[in-house]
Amino acid sequence: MRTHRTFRRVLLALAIALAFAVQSTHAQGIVLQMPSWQATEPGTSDWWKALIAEFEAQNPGVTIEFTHEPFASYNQTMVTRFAGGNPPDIFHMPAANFMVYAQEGWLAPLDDRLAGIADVMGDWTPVQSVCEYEGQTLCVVVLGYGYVLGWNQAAFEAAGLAGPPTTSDELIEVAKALTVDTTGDGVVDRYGFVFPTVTHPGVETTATSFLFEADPDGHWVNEAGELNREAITFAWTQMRRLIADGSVPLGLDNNAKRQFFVEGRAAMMLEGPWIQGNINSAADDVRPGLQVAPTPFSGTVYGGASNVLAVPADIAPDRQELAWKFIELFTSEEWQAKYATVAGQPPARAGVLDDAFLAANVNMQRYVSEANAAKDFIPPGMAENYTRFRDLVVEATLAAVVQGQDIDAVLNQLQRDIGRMR
Amino acid sequence: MTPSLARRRRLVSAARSRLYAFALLAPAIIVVLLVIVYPLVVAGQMSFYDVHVFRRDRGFTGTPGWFNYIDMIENAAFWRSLRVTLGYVFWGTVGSFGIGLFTAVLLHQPFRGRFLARVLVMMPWPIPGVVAATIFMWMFNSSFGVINYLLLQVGLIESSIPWFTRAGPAFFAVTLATIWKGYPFFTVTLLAGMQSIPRELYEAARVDGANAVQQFRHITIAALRPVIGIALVISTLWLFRVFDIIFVMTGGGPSGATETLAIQIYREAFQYFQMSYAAAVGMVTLLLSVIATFVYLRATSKSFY
Repeated sequence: MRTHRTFRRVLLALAIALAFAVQSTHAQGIVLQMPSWQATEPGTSDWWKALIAEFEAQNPGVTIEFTHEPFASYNQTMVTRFAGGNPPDIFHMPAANFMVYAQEGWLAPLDDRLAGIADVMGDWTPVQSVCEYEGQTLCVVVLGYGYVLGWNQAAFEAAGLAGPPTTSDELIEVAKALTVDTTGDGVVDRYGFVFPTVTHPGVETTATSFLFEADPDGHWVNEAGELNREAITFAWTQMRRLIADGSVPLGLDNNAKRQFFVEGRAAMMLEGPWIQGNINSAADDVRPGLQVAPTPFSGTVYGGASNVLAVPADIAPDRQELAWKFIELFTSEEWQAKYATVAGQPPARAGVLDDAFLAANVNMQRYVSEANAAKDFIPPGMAENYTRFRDLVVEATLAAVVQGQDIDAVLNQLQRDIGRMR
Repeated sequence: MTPSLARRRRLVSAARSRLYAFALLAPAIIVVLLVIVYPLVVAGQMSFYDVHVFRRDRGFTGTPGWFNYIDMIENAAFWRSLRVTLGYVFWGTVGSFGIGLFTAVLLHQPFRGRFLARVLVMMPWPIPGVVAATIFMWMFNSSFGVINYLLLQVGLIESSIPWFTRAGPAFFAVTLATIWKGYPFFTVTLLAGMQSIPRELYEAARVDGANAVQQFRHITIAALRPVIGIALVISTLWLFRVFDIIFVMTGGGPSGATETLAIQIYREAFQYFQMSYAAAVGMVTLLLSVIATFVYLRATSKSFY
């Protein structure tokens, strides 16, 4: 009998505890999940966190769980979450992966909502077009960018060079002059130019920049999927010249490339506006010499959309509404301006930076102007298979440029590989 | 009791025993079916469809066919990966087995500090593949790696070798890291096998005038054959699916020179989202693993004692 009473008491206690737990969950309100690879990046993460704090202040009872996911596995993790029916509430993704989600029908159309802020979107970056799929707009571009040339003014002055090159031929000459063995031990201490020479997307970035000089209106392939053989041959030949001159350190990936530039061990590199973070992290004796200039490819700039925000199609309508409110806040003049002042990146919305700020930040002027001048890095008809296309270009470029294989043979193989892409 | 009744009782008793045995084994069988057989069946089924991103709610749609296998046969990248895989498995096995056997023989001898030596030799085994790959990546770094530094110091090379930009050096670097990570497994298994060989065999051989090499060949190696067989099977299966070391060090590059089938499966499934094609390559890899297992076990199953 006593045991029976004790059992009933335990049950009652459990029921009360459960009731409190449920109550407590309700009191917490709505939690929106927002994973991002930028959650720990200095500058950018500060801006995201400030934006999230503002959103939470404007929407009491709503909190955003801003979590870090490594970039290397970001797409795989997100695809798995979407496929498993557990998408995040606010979806931040690299623009290059947009098609995967669009094709699966995982993103909610934003056209009706965007119509409500048509005046804002009128000032939005032209690369916003990457968010369109089958006549619908499925995302909003966070960052549109153009590449710049990072150059080390101190190294240029030491070599008696006036300023950064403006064509690829000049780049090759200047890079050779800047490559020196400063200590005289037979080992090169500073290279003139640095780009990744191992399997890495940065190989495609570099090759495309050279290619754009040869054919400002063209790309790797035309709409029929035929290779732009002449322009590619020009790009690979120029890159080969840099390597043959010994002006480029071999065996580096993109991180090592940046490290070489920041440490003053390479005098020039191509990079997006996020180069500012690298410059800021340089040692005190190197930082003042690190400058940015337009890329030396006759005025054609490599660029496009970097990352975008979207609303998942398979979440509850009230969560979709909140996710949209977050995006709407992100597009506001105040937070677009802060994208430049806090994150140090060019805002997607034009006209939000005042003249005084731009006058005091010459590099930001450059990032904004290059972003506006940039030509999209994705060739026509390749958006749906861009990752595979890029990997094929990286492999072919390494074979032709670094391994010195016959360019025609490599082009023939690349054409075959592109032909069998699905 | 009539003979037929006794027979029936025996049959019922035997059936009950079998049922009891199955009941005891049921949890293990269910786990194996769920964890191993079911994913294999799904992957096999997927390889006959055209699935990009697999979604359980959609299942398999469209007409099944052999198109992924045909596509694979016509794909030069598949044949290149197959060649790379076979070379990687061969050199990885030969290197790991050779060093493992050498260290096992060494550690089987009584000497001062043997315990410490055994600990040191086993060190690479518990180190995670990613960590091992990172260590080797730094060692082979073309600008500040210790390998280039040592080769330059002893005058074997005149300028740094860019290890990861050319096919041969990249394959060598990746294989060396794999051998370093894999040889302690052979050391452990072969050492355990050596310790179980009766000493009397060696004493008898010595009495018969056999020298050390003859003893090693006709007693040690001969007695170790079943152990070697099992160790080779496990090591080969491991090498077929090594992912972390290669992916961290080269990502399969340069130009596919280190892209094994495991790396190709990953890229097709999770970078290009061609899951059906990846499943087809996975089925072929499984078939190759089964064949290799069969060959090893057939060749090494017999022991003389």
